[in-house]
Amino acid sequence: METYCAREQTDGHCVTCTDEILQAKVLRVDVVNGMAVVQIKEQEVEIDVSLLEQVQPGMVVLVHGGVAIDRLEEEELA
Amino acid sequence: MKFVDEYRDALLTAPAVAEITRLSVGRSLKLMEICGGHTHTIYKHGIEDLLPSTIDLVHGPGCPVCVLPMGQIDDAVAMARMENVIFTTFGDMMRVPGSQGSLLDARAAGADVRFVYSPLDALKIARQNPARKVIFFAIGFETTTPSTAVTLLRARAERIKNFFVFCNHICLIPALQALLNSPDLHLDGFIGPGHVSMVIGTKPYEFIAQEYKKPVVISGFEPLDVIQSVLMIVRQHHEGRVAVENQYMRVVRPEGNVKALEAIEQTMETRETFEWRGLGWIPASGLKLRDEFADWDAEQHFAVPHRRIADSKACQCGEVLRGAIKPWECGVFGTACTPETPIGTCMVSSEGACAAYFNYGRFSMRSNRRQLQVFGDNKEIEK
Repeated sequence: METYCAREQTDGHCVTCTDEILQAKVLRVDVVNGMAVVQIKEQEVEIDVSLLEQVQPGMVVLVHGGVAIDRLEEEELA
Repeated sequence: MKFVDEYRDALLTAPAVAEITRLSVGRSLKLMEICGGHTHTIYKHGIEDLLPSTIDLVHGPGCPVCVLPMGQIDDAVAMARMENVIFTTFGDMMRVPGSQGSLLDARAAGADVRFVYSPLDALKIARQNPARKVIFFAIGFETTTPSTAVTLLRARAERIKNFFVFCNHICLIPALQALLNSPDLHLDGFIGPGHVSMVIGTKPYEFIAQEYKKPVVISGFEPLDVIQSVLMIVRQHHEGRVAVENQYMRVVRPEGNVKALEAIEQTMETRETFEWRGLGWIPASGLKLRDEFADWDAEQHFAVPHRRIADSKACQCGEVLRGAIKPWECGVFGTACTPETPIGTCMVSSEGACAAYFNYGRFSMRSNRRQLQVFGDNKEIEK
């Protein structure tokens, strides 16, 4: 499992300026520490999920700067 | 991503554009988008060329890199050069020139400057290097502020005392108010930033509709999102309505992310005023760490110049950021100021209006109708 900071940053684009949000599928959740292992673009990374309620494996969350800010509901994934 | 194909479908674009054209007959509208991501989408997908010529899209100060004053870069470089410091920063901040060079220059001269994708990465570096002082250069609007807030809460919980935040987070709403009060800018609506709104919700924009009588439509980032948002604004004008509407309903909720807002409130407070490059001082538009987090506040631990540095006289980034001129109307665009040799931050950041136009918009048919010769003398080419 790759840590967030180990992801290759080959394009140097600006996370803040693009307001980049990445879709991530939750694989495992560490409820105690508010962290989760997710899959982003075929990579497994660890992110903070403390700003969302009841994060569970299988859920799709939206990630900015290593932190899950929102989740996509089931109907949006259908 | 699930939505890429659906929201880039050219067949769906045509009826939306036809409706925009029908509803905007006899009506000229100047609409501002405030997010670097929207600027990028508009230029990359040639959206201006699809819209009728009566719809003018102007680009506002949606790039946090672009609006950061040079003096703050100098302070960052000063911190990076200090002994025993590991200075961490997001992407484009590495290349932004201050009056004493950029963070990249500082790194080339031996400073330990590292690119991170998240403040949590910087905290991890602090954990791994307990004898060093790790500073995170915190920039960005409300989309990014929660990640810094969460990191500060973790640093406090874990008692990590060698981690510091150089807080330069900015707030969108005061900047919008400053633009609305600007005498040389007459706008007919806003394409609102989708991901800032994911955090702050839609209510903070209501004053724009109620007091300034301008429509606001919160937009997603795919081409059809932007086109649909333009359609929604044009419809409001056609129907004589003014409202805040949410085109990005698949992501943005009216209340925003309450926990994210609470985390920000716990860790940061509003500065009395903050300088925006090109826009001047805007009250209550920047954030600093609360007193309870003084132990992690870089400004309280590292002495820096705190000087205000004026921009080059040739730089017209301020006018571009306010939407008063287009990138190609800047006197040094494409000549002295290019992505390789940027004078102003609108060209340094890859999401700045000037860089976005240089990379994509030069091929736009609309700009060609008013094209300035990029690689020769600046002169207007007749239609």
